[in-house]
Order: sequence, then C-alpha cells, then structure tokens
Amino acid sequence: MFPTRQRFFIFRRAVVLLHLATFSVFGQHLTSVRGSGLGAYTALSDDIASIDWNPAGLVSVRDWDVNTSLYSAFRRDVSSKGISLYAAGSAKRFLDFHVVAGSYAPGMSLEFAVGKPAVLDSTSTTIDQQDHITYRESYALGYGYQMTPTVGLGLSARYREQMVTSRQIVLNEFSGARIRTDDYSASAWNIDIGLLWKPNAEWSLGAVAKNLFRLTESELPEGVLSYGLRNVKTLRVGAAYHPSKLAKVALDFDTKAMGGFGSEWTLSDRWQLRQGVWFGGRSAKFFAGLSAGLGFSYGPAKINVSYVRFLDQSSRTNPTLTQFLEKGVQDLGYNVFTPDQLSISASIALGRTKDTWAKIEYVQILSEVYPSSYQVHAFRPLGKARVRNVSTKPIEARVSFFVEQYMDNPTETRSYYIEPNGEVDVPFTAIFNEAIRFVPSMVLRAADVFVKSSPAADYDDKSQTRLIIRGRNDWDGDALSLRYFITPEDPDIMRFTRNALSQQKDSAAGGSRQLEKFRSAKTLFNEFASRLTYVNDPKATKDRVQFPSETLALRGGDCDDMTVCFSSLLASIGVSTAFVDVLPPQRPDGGHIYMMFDTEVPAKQATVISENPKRYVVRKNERGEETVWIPVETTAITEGFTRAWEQGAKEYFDEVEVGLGLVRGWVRLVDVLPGR
Amino acid sequence: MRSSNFVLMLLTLFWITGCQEKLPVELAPEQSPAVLEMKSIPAIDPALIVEASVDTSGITQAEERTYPATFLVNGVKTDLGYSRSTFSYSRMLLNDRKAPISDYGKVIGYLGLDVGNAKVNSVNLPKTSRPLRTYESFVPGWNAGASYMLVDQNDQPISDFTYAAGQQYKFRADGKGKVASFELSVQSPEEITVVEPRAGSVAFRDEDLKIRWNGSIGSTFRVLISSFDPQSNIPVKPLLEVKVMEGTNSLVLPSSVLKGLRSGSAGRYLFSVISSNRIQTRIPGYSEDVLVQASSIHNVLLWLK
Repeated sequence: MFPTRQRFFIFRRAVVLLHLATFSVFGQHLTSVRGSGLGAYTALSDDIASIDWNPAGLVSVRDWDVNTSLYSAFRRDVSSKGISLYAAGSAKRFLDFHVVAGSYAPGMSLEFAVGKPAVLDSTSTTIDQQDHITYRESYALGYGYQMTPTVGLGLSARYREQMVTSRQIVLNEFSGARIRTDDYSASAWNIDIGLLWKPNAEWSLGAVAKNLFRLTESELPEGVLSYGLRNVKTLRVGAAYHPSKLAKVALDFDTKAMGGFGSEWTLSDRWQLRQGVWFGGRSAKFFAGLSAGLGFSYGPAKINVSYVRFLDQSSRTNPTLTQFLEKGVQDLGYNVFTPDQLSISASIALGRTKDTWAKIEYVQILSEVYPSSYQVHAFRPLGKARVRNVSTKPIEARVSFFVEQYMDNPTETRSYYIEPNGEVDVPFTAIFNEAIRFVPSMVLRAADVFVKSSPAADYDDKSQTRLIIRGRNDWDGDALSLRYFITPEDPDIMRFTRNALSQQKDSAAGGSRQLEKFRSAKTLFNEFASRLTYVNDPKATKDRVQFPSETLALRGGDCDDMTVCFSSLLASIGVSTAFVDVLPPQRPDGGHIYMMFDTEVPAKQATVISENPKRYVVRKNERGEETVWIPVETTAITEGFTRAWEQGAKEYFDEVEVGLGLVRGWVRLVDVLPGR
Repeated sequence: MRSSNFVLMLLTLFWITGCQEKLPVELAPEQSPAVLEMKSIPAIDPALIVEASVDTSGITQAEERTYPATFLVNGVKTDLGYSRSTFSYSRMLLNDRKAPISDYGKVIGYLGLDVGNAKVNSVNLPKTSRPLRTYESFVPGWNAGASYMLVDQNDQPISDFTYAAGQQYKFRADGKGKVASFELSVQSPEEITVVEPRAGSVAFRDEDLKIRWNGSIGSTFRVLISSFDPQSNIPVKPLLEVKVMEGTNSLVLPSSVLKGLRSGSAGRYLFSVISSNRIQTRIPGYSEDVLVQASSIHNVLLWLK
C-alpha cells in the first residue's frame, strides 16, 4: 500500500497522462498488449483492456488500476510513422464486489481514404475526390461484478463514432467540374456483456457477447451506409488452462470463426514470455497471424510488449475499396486492415493489489473488556472471526486483532486450515497494554481484525468491529473477576499493613506463633475498621468496585469494596483469602459477598481458634492441607473483628451448612490468587 | 524502482511519442484497367462559333480551338433508343488566326481560309460560305469565311459520300493565296459498334457501368459523355472524356463517376464512343499544325437514374 500523500501524487500524474493522451491521433491497435501477445485473452482478461476483450475480467482489479499503452504499426506498403499513444484508462474496485472502469482511447480509431478514379480538370490537374471515413471508439466504460468468488460478470459500453466526408466530383454542363463535399456522422453506444468463471485453480472460462445492445444516437444516411461500421452480434468464448504455475495456455473462438490460441510462460518472478497464433475470421489464410510478447512486472507496475505479424497481407497492404466494402470493419482493434504492429503498455496497480484468498465473513466479540481483568484476554478468546476461503485452493489462515491505543502490537492466532470455499471460526485473543488500566469510564473503541492466508505477505481481508472497554472500576458481577481488583503490592496497601502491624507489635509479642496469621488478620481488621466505614455503592449497583487504595483513600466502600480491600491487606502479608459469593435462589437481587481467610492453623488444632466449630471453616489450602479458615463479614466492620467474624461465621453456617448453598451451587468460594 | 518513478517513466514515454499523426489507410480506387485517363471537359462557351457538335465531329470545342485547321472524315451512328440514324461526315476547315472575328471585343472565331477546290478522295468537298453561327443565337449570321463540308447548313448530307472502315482517305486542295496545294492522308479505323448497354436503356448511378463494343479500335479511342437535350440550343454538351487503352473492347465506368454527372437533361446522357486515327501534320503556306482525323463514332443515349 502507498501512503496517502504518494497516492495523491500518482493519481495527479495519472490525470496528466490522460490529458496528454488527448493530443495525439492514432490508427489501428490491438487492445491489451498482453492479450495481443497471447492471441487469446477472453478467459484471462484481468486489466483495463477487459473493457474490450471481456468486461468480466474487470473483477480481477484489486483496487486502483491505471494503464496506458503505446504502439507502432508496420505496414508493408507505407513507411512507419513511429510510436503513438493508444489509450489511457483506470479502474477502481469499490464495495468489495464492484469494479468500474473508464478509458480514453484516441488510438482506437481508424481512418480510410477511399480512392476514387482520378479525374483531371481541363488543365490536366487531378481533382481530389477522395472520401474519408473515420471511425472512433475513444470512450469506453466498464463495470464488473464479482458474483461469487469464482464467477464474475461484466458489462461495457463503447462509444462508437463514424464520420464520413464524401467528396464528389460534379460534372456540370454549365460550370464544368467542381467538388461537392458532404459530411455525415453517426454515433452509438455498443454494449457488450461478459462472463468469467474460474471453477478451479487450473481452469478459467470466459464468454463475451459483443454488440449485444446498441443505443443509437444517430445513423449514417442511406447514401454512405456502405461505409459504416459493422455491428454484428458476436459471441466469443475462451478457455485458459494452467497446467502449472509456470505455464498458461489459452484459446479463443467466436461465432465468426475467428480466434486464436497462445501460451504464457513464467520465466521468473518478474518475466513472462508469450506467443500466440491467430486464425480464421475474414483472413484469406486460416492462420492469420503470429504473435509474441514479453511481460515484466515489478511490484505493482507491469510493462508488456508484444509484436503481431499477420501472415495474410491481402487486405493489409494496398487494400482496395472492394475489400473494404466486402469485409468491412467490426472491431476497431483487430480487423482485416490491421497492420503488423509492435505494442507496449505500462500499468500500475494502486492501493490494495494482492489476491484475496481469505475473507472475513463476520466478527463476534465474546465479552466486554474490564481493565481490572484485562490480562485474561491474553489467554481467553476475546472474540472470534468467521473466515472463508474464497480461493480455489486450500489455505492456512491466521487472524490478527488490534485495538489502537490499548494494544502495542496486534495479536495473531495460530494457522487454521480451510478448504476451498470452506469456513472456520477463528478465536482470537488480545494483549492490552497498561493504558487500559486507566480508562476512567466505559468507552467504545474500533478494533481491527485481519486475516491473512499463508502464501500472502500482506493480509487478505480486514474487518472492523466495535469493542466495549469498561471503566477501570467497572465489574462484571462475577466473583472470579473480583480477584483482579486485589492489589497486595500496591504501595498504599503495603504502607497500611506495615504501619498497622508495627503499632501492634508489642501487644503481639509472646503470643502463639501458630496464631500469628490469625492475630495479624485481627489487628489489620481492627485497624481497618477504625479508619473505614461501610457505605453503599455510589451508583447503587454492584457493577462498580473500588481498588483497595481508593477504598483506603475514600475511607469506605460497599461490601465488594471492603471485601476486596481487606483481602488485599491480608494478601500483602501472605494470608490467603477466599470470597464467599452468595446468590440466593429465592432472592436474585439479594446477592452478597464476604470473605474468609486462612489462619494456617491445622484442622486438628482448630480448638486453638474456637471451641465452637460453627465459628470456623475447615478447608484445604493451596498446598492441599486442611486448615482453619475464618469467615468475616466485612460490612460489619464498624463493630470490630469479633463481631464481623461472628456474623461471617453465622452467615456461612446458615448458607452453606444449613442451606446447602455450596452443594446446590448458589454459594461459591473463590480463592483469591493475586495475579492469576 | 518506486512507483512514482514508474509513472514518471510513463510520462517520458508520452513526451517521446508526442503527437505522432498516422496516415489514413488508402483504399485503392476501383478503376477499369481499360481507362487511361478521365478528364472533365470545360463547359461549352455558347458565344463561340459552332463548327459541328462533338457527336458528329468527334472533336471537342477545346480541340477545335487547339487545332485551327481540321480535316475530318467520320462514320457516325446515333442510337437514341427510339430512333437510329447513320451518316457520313467530312469537313475541311482552315481558320485564319490572323483574322479573328470579334463580338463586343471578344474573339468568337476566325475567318475560314479559301484553299481553292477540295476533295476527299474522289468526292468534291463543296466550299460553302460559312455562316457565323453560335450556340447562343444558333441563327446563321454574316459570313465567317470558307469551309468545305459534305453537309448543308442544316447538317444534312449533300452527297452520296459514304464512310467506310479501313480505307485510306485523302484530302486534297488546289491551294489559294498563301496556302499551296496539298494532300493529306489518313486511314479510317474499323467501324465501332456499341453492344452494351443498349441504347435508350436505364443505367443506375449506384452501379458501375460496363460499356462494350465491337471492332478494333484506332490510334485514339475515347468515350465522351455528354448531357443530351434535343430541345436545347445545345443538344449535346460534353462533360467527361474517358480515354481508353488500345486493344480493349470494354471499359467499366465506376459509379462514383456516374454520380458526378449532373445536367438539366432529365438524366439523358449521350455516350459517344469514338475510335479515331489521328495525324497531326503541316501543310505548305499554313503556319500552324493541322489535325487530320478519321473516326468511327457510335452515339448511344442512356438514361442515368
């Protein structure tokens, strides 16, 4: 792809080319230099010249295509007049499946001087009474529609002008000889319809109905109608076979028994060699001509050269009026008067230029992104893209995902094998950067999803989707996600715990080491209780959670905030905690969360904590050892540790032991493992 | 190479090519191989003295002016479709360029010279006082000098002279004044008869017209196409002269030529097929070249649509 600025310059220069083209006058030409080298191009049309050969070929244009061509004719009866510009045109793909094209072809013209018997005036001077016939097809428009990945339809309209200047000697008995000049003109849009079908990687088939419709603006009068262009409806079909990556063979044949066959050989990444044989038509010999061509491509630029030599020169050298009237002219590009010629064309593809093998059918984002838990998306799919193989061969496709500002680099999935025309759902992850942690409130961001197939260096297709990024305090209501608000290494937390524990250092001295965790928790809780107050969520929802440092700074929070904050304080001194997530089935709105912590006192010695087994919970810690856990209702913080313990133990006993909440699934214990 | 450079290269190519202009494809003319040359004939000057019409004399007004002295012997057939006539014509005329006849300051002819008694072979060529007759007036006026003709003033034969093909004709005169006696000979060509198209038939301007004749042609062979209007002061007005190659017996007139023929004669054209043996020579006492011509002339009327 080109930077925008460069695109602009290229476009501007292309416009200049088109203007320059208007200042030249030309003769016959074979449209498409590549096609003339091959002799058969109906099934291989893939550039701006498709307008004339097979408009369905326009569907091969990827984005912008700018083309221009030059030629030199070699008639054997007159000397060559050098090189002339033939045409300049451009095509553009839009809305994925549509291509429009336009060309200005001053070289698409023919001029005949009709010889008449020489008549001398009374002074024996020859009186010029030549008729001049001029045909032009200067303007053409084309449209291509990609019906399916393998079928393209095309339509082209060529503006045909016919001008006849009739010079007639008038022998009058009174005034003698004089010349009368009459000018006639006619114009029409001739419509062609083409089809291109690539059933597999080896074959491509094309058909084009020429002059299928005609929108006539004006006709030549009866007297000079014999000088007019033929507008015969013709069906031309073509086939191309690709036996290997190195070769292509192509055949064209039409209802006028005219056609050609040729081959193209890939010599290297940049060079192609072509040769063709032209046959039939109105030629006096079955093999009408031979052609050869050379193609060179460098990145988006292509240069083609071809030379066509006609074996039948009967009407190409010193043609007569009889031959003209008998054979006529249907195709301005190739007809029985077309001389041998050398042609050169240069084209450049702008914008996206590569073949598309994989397409993104749609993208589904599976979840919103919570900054508190942004890391999970590095492992857990954030979304999935349905990818279709639109090529005729199997591909390996990979999907990339990128959100500007919140990701440093795109993530890329593994390769997925997709059969031709098959589709696969590819899950993708996202690695967000730290910036996402500071999103104050919910934002909507555009996210780019790319797919590229294995042989491609660039991506094949791109899709954009919407990604919801929640604010840093937003919570999805899942207790599992609450873990991501635990910040034991936060300096404010560390400072709080160190200060609290150092003040209680003396009172703790001499106590049982077995109860060290218990005492520390109790000290922290009481210190915590002395400074904080339980308050309701400011938005009266449970979807907002304060980070522990915020709770400390604000000196309060709701149950979620308090639970998270106290868990963080305990975690900072190495005490394991767990959330008790309660969602009573009879009262879905009565959801609640509190916590418990591990005293690390073995279950067998639980009596050192309490004689009453209802005051504690025995459960396995992360090392697999059964230890004593103390439930604490953090919302009862103002009533001190003992009361909070008592209330937590009661709630646990009622909900788990009596209500069988754990067994029935409406109570869940979520171990807090910071950083996981 | 950067793409922008590539486009610059294209620009350079355009500059190199510039405005090369291509010649049109010349389509060779469809001309009968028998035709040597076609030449338009200047319109008749109606003020000039009339010697004889081209269908009778076999020479045009321009030739009359080129050759002041003419010795003619012609076998003339005229087919109009509805009528056919034949007659033999002979004339001896020597104009004196030193004695122009003027009308309102314009030279309209010259006085004819009296060269004494004259004969063509053994037949006397009667000397007549040439009337001064123009296309405009067509009425005999004052005397324009002497001429020797086998037709009267109304172009009617005045003797039993009969033109014969392949015969030697001798013009003799006794001489008078500066002009000494002389004898000039010419061999008459074979008789020419047009066999295609039929007289009085219609030919179409959109189609080529083939003209075919019998008889070997003389040293000069031409077809004069004239508009034809018997009601006009100038019934026959030559328009086009087609010179034909020796040894041929047909020619094709292309339709483009036929389309160019325009007249007020309602589409009637006289095709005068003239086979001549011509001699250009001198006679003692006369300062200019003289034309001696024996012709077989077949006039055929065609209607061009």
